[in-house]
Amino acid sequence: MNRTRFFSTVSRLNRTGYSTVEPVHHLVPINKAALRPGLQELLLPKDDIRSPGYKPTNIGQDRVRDYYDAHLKSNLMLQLYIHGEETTDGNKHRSWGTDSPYKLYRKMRKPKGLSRATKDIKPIAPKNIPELTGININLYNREALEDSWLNISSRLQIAQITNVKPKRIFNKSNIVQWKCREGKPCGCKVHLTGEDMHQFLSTLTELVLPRIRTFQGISKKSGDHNGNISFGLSPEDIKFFPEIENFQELFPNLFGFHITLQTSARTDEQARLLLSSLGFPFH
Amino acid sequence: MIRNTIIRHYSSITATPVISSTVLLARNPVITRDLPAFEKSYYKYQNELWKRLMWTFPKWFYYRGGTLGDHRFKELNKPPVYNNPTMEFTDGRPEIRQSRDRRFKQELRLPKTYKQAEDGSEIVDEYSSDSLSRKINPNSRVTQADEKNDTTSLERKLSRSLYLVISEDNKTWTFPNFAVSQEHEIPLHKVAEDGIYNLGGQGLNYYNVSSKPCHVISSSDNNEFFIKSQIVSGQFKPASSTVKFMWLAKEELPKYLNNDYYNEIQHLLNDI
Amino acid sequence: MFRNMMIGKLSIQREFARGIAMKGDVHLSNRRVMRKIKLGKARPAIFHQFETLVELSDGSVIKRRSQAPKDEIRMINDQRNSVLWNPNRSDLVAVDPNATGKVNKFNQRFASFSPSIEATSETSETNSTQKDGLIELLGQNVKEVASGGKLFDKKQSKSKK
Repeated sequence: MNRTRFFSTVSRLNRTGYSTVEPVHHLVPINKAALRPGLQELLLPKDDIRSPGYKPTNIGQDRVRDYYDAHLKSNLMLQLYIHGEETTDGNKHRSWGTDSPYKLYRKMRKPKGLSRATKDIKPIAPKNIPELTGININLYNREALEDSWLNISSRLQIAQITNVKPKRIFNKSNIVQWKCREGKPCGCKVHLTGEDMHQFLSTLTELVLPRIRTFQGISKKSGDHNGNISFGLSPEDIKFFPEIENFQELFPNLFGFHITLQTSARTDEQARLLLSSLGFPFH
Repeated sequence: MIRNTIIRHYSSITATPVISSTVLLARNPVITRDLPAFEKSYYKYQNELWKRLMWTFPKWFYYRGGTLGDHRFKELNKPPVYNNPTMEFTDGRPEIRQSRDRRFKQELRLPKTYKQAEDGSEIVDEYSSDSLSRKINPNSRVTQADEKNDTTSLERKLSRSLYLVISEDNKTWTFPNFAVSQEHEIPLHKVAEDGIYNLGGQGLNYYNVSSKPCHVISSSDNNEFFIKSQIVSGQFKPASSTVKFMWLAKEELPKYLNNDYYNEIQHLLNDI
Repeated sequence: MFRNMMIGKLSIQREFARGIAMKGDVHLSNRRVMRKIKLGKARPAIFHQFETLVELSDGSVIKRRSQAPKDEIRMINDQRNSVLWNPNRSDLVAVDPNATGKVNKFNQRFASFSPSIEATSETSETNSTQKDGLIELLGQNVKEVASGGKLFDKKQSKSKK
């Protein structure tokens, strides 16, 4: 006598399950003046250990920071030093002239040959030695426009690689052919500083980039004339990150992203000098 | 030839002003620096705070229920004491979420690729000793050269910058110093480069940090410029047997160098 | 202008439609999760991280923090034996994946016989710790034979189609 058992499906309907929609609890503004006494600790700054938002820093020895402070800084200063150098003015917005009141109040003219102004280049001194200030990762996920759950995959991927929770990015314009709709989530971004940045940097230069067979170095043409260098990684390159490589079955879909290395260098040449001494080859 | 090129800094025999180029040939640290006790305990404190604030490990994501990995993970990590409502707990009630007691930091042991003893050490058998899955044991920070105090070895003091000093008579030690000839106009860094190669750097791979000197010591008859350079690979082997050399860290240099001279240049040397 | 430069590399990849795994199989709710985190209870995102020891190909060990539950990783290829990062080492074989044409193929195949490599091997490092044991056993003047040959390149063959 065979009997088939049917399980109840009611509980399945009532379960919360997974949603593609983010909860909004932390986006609700707090009226700080009317906070009740039990929640006074919310007023504390985030770097106070009593604050609920406290996140410890300096949790271990940072070898990239040590190397930069002890060796690179003095070497860069010596390499970039030019005897008797004077400040070179950057390419700035220009005036239209003063011969008519219309020109006086008109919006400034664009810099010569460029759409954006560049900074003044001052002689090198201990206080303006080029330094890596941050790494920006920007992942535009075109597939997430069609299947919104794919944006969860892309955010998970970035969180795994960087150990930092990424922010979502949204479409800004409506383009029908590309299925872009305003306000639709389409990828994620993350800004790395400090220890996370240094670990990501050493992972890239020691473990990931050397294993990409077609990688010849960052293009020398890359750069925004202000000392920020960018390059991209394709979906095939992502699997060389140790977190992804050892658990490939958990990441069926991988997405390429853009990396911008932000430096305090005044020119791209200085930025390339800094980055190549941190282990990035250029070609 | 070498005897002619090396100039004793504190000799006052030379009549015409001499320009010379001194090489600060450094070997960069190979391993991370040694932390002072205070810094070490500060990092430990911050790291413990970090561990306490860390989110629960998403076991359900990495180890799906019923898989072999899940089984091995469960063997190593026993679930915490269950919050039994009929029981009295003397040191507070357990607050169990996702099989973790939220009152404490979460400490986990991970399955290894090698056979493991109870205390976490590796059980070594003949087969596994050279396989790719053996335990990772970081090399010792103290090398043989450290134990023997072999100052000519590049393998000593791996966590420090070492500087090359040479001596002809085994009494006065100096950085390698080369005179710039008056007739041929050879730049300072080139003089330094050729000088090091002639002195014994044929098997040496090194580079000058910059062609610009980083310091100058001027006196009435002598202008001594300092060129910073770094060794990449190879060994320093003196061409002549009379030349002795040593690789010394910053705090060892005052023992061998002239005191005034050391005070003049000590800011050029790396502390780590 | 800056954006165009960045997108240059990826735009080639974009031309080929990629297969998305589990495309029709995932059905997530579009409703909001009705679980609230109370005011003052939200904590910063500190993912659970393990301290991972990574042994590089030259035997040096680095420590890194990683969310993946794997605390020991041994690398076979990395920065320490990559040709791009070690231009002075003669014991690494440079196989140019983009090389096409007869001359390039010839050069790759017979790279070990070319005089330029012999010349560089003299000035290359004599550090015995970096060389592997077999070469040491054979003696001082032994040179490793570069195997040459072009390995199959997935990306390259894809873009040729």
